[in-house]
Amino acid sequence: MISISVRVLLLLISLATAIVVNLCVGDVCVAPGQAIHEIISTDPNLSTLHEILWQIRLPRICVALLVGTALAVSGYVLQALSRNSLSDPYLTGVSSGAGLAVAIAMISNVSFSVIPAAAFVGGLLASLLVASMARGAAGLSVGRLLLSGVGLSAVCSAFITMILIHASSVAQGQGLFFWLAGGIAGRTWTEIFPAFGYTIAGVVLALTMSKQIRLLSLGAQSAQALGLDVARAQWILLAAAVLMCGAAVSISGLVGFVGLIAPHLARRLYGQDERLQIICSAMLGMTLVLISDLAARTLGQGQELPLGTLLSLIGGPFFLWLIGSKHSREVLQT
Amino acid sequence: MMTGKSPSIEAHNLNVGFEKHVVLENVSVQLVPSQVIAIAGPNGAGKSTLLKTIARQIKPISGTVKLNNVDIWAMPTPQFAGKVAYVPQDIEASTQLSVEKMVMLGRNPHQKWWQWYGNSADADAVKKALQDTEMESLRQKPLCQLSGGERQRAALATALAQEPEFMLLDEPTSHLDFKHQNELLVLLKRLRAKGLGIMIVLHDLNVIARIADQVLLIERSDNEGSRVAATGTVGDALSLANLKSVFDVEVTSFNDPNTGELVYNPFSLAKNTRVVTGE
Repeated sequence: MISISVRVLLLLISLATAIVVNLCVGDVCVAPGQAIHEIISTDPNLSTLHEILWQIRLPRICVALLVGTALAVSGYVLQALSRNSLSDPYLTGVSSGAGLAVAIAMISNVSFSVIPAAAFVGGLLASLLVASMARGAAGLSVGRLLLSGVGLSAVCSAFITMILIHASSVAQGQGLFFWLAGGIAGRTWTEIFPAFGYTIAGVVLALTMSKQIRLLSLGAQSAQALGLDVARAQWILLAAAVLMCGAAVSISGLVGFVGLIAPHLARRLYGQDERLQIICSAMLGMTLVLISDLAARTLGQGQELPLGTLLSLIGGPFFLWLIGSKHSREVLQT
Repeated sequence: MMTGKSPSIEAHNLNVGFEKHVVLENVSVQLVPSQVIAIAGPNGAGKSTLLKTIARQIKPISGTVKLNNVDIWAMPTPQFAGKVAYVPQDIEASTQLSVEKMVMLGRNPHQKWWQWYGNSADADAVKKALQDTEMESLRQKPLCQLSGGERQRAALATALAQEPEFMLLDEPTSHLDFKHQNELLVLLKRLRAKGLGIMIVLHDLNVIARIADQVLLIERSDNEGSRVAATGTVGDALSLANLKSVFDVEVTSFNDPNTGELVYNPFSLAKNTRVVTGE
């Protein structure tokens, strides 16, 4: 049996390795030592490699870290709120709601800094709609939550397709199409910062509320009996989840399943402490997005594969396996 | 009657229901320190609903519940939980949380909202609660691996760790074997002697007879809300006539020749049950 601290160490090593490999491997391959030398170089005559690393690979890695963290922690919080391991931003319709809002914002030619806010509002509206549909006498019904999420996602997808068809220019339509497929290519530093703020706020909120997450794990009735203002805690956590999901969607489009896989593994592998679970969930999310992005840009033989599609190839079977598990069969009865 | 300044939890003229369906009508009850009140009645009579209403889980349609003369809905949730512990009938089973960590959550009403680790007073309260419920040996075990009875005892330990003035228990013996039922009765009597007021929903008339100072017998009505059929000491409220009227069952009773305690027998097969024979 490997101890939790060794597991955390292994995860840290995996994450560090994934960062280094993503930095060094691509159309231009570079040794790790040379890459670091180029990055910290203060030589006024900048090399092409310096430009590639600073303007392409490092922003891309940062986006992967950001998106991985945002989706994983958002998924963790949604799973804690609904008390089942089948929830994630994608499946509960939060991503689709945020996606539709971003699509509307993009064709409206608004400033990029507004897009995370639009994603937040869209995600919040979607989550409120799904939560109201799933709310029963005994709290949230898992089956209804997932079905409402699927239904809402279908409606949002239909609207997004209509927006795509009626895009005013080919360039606008193409931009929207690539964003929808989910990907983190070509992001610049200025695009990262708004989403960075939202993600940090969401993670800090989730970490601060970790005792409340533990209380909610006993069920709303027991949590309230132990002095938790359940409705307030649920609202704050929902806002945190939507904030992070909105940040991820605004920068990477519709990327699914990270929020399903990472928190599930974190709860299984890293003990009972919710704060450690949240941190490990974020690290697992980062590693997963980095590895998937590396595959997306190296396996396509000249053409990049969409990150969202690749993650669906991994996440879809994982979701099916999860549905078949004993615990899931029990919660789906509710 | 208690004076206004004495500690008490008092429900007055409660009407409770869901949407248009009224479950309970005009129920009043007062619990004071060092007292055990048992709530009895047939299935569906609204016993748990009454307990939940007093436990601030359900808002009544009309009527009030006051804790030490303050409306419970006017006080913050942690303040109420610091004085009143409620153990529901069904305890969440799916969580990986260990027994000890669950019991530590009982200290939540006495902690700051951001406080993650308990102080030495919290640790002492948790240790004592685990000892009182004989859960020390299971303290590292995840809740999802506990039996129904062990889970019930873990929930009781959590309520004890709250160090409340009043405790509301919903069928706490339903999953317990004889040994642990007996131990629970001994524990509840000890808590009562220390000044705790206990309101408890129970089905077993003999358990009620051994623990309750007062009984609230609730009568089910299919057309209207349930009402209080009788209230008083065990002998008064659970008279054979009241039991026949409320449960529609002939119950016999006698005094235990060894202890002198009242013993009920609701299983008089010849009188009460149609035995269906054949394949």
